[in-house]
Amino acid sequence: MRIGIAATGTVLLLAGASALALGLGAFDAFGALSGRPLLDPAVGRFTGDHAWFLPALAGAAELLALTGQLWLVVQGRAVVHHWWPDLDPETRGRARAAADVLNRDVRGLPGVQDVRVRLTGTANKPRLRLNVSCAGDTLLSEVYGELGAGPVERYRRATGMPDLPVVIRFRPVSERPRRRRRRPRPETA
Amino acid sequence: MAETLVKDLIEEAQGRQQARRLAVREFRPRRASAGFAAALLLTASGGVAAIELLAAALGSAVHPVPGVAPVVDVLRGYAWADPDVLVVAGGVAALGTAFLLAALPGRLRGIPLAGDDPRLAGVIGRAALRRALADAALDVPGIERARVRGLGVLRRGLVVRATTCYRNPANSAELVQRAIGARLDRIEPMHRPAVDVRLGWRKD
Repeated sequence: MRIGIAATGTVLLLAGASALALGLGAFDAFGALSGRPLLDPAVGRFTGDHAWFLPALAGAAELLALTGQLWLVVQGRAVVHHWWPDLDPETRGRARAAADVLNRDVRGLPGVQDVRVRLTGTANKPRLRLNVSCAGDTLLSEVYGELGAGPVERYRRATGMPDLPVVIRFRPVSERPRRRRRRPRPETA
Repeated sequence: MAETLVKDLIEEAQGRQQARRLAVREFRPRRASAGFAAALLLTASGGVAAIELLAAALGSAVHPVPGVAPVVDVLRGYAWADPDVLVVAGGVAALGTAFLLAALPGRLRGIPLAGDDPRLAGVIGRAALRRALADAALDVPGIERARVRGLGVLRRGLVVRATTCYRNPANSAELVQRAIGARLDRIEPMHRPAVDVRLGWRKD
């Protein structure tokens, strides 16, 4: 993803900078290029003389368009699999049953108030995502350790995915107002 | 015995390293909108160019894509040195720079938690961590206001601004520091941030 974005950015930056340099007369040493039209008639003459040029350019543009489409499909697939995992019905059923048990187990941990469980990804690259809401002063390190050792491990066993990566996002809930009320001062006589 | 101990230590270190890698992979910003915009731009520009170039290669004088004919007329009428062209060129360069900036790794979406399970990645949001630490500071007797800043791009550490209702703060700053340290111990982030406590007190 990042490489594609960087490549697109580099091409755009180079194109924009070259056009700016051309317009500002940086290449005028090779002739008065900055005064020539954007769609130069010389380009038309060149394509007329070289019959292979336009089809080759069209092929390159088509490849570019296909790459873009493929990239869009890959991104769309990732978004869809984030919400609807691409798993067979049997695994999905096992995961649903295991999620209920996991939900119950996690809520039993000290300080945990709420939990949301979601299995995402594909059969080859699944992910278990947990959103855990807990009290502000929860011993997170302990809850995190216990989660990994107990409930999550049982979930992995139940779904038959021993190497399932698990991503846990903790959301401590603060119940206190940001500013403590000022204590009334003793009245002076 | 000693061999087992060393083996355990090595395995634990490896586990921590792999857990850190998983956390970085999972919590790195996805840049989904930049990726979508780049892919859309690539598809649209490539598709339009391919159709138009194929039509030109086949000797057609008609522009198959609607709206291209006026654009071609405009391109014929403008020179490279025209101010409008320079503005558009600057815009394209700026867009390219924006894409390049979006491709930078960026900071993680939250503070990863310490752990040695390579299949487990935990995170707590920056705002949530700051709130939790402010709550810890407010638990110190005499502290009536606490604000935590930091964990940003420029300021990596934490700055805790606490105000006490006492005229003589005595060791309140140390107590706040201890309370923040204890709360960080309870949360156990992967990289423990430096904490700078600045205490204010009544001057009247």
